[in-house]
Amino acid sequence: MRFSRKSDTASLSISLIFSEEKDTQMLNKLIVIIGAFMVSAFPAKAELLQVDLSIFGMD
Amino acid sequence: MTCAHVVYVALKKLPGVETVEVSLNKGMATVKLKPGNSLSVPEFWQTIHTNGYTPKNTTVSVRGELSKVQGQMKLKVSGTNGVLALTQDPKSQAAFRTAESKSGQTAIVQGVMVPLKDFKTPVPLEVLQIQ
Repeated sequence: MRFSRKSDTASLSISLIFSEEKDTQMLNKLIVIIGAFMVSAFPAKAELLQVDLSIFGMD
Repeated sequence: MTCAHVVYVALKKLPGVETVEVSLNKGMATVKLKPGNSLSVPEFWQTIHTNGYTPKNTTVSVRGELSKVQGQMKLKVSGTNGVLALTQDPKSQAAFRTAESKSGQTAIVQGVMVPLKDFKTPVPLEVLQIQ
């Protein structure tokens, strides 16, 4: 009976660890997906800031 | 309506333009742009041309990602999905070397673009300064 209990405990703790690993993998995947979304939704600021136009014939 | 006013109104109408200052003495229009705009320099040239004037040398400040493709320095301007070829100004060789060393990074490049007759043909940006 004792032996059986120990085994149950070991089995439970293994499954818990396995579950945590799965959660971590899911979290990592989620981070990657959110990161990809942020990059596509908010591209690095890149644009014209100022333009100084020389114009011929203006008086 | 003065020529300066015509140019002012035409440039101010462009989407993404924040302020326009026109100097008759200098024969120059200075346009400051809003963040996130998607305007390109040829659009300014075309606007000036449509209103009966001829655009000349244009000094541009532009933010983008520097890269080197097949030995040619480029500036990717994501706001317009455009890519500007960068060339070296003989008087500002140090600035061009700085651009080369910052390949892969985002920088503000100040340079000069000279329009061609059709105002549409891509022209390079002659680098004067890198920030």
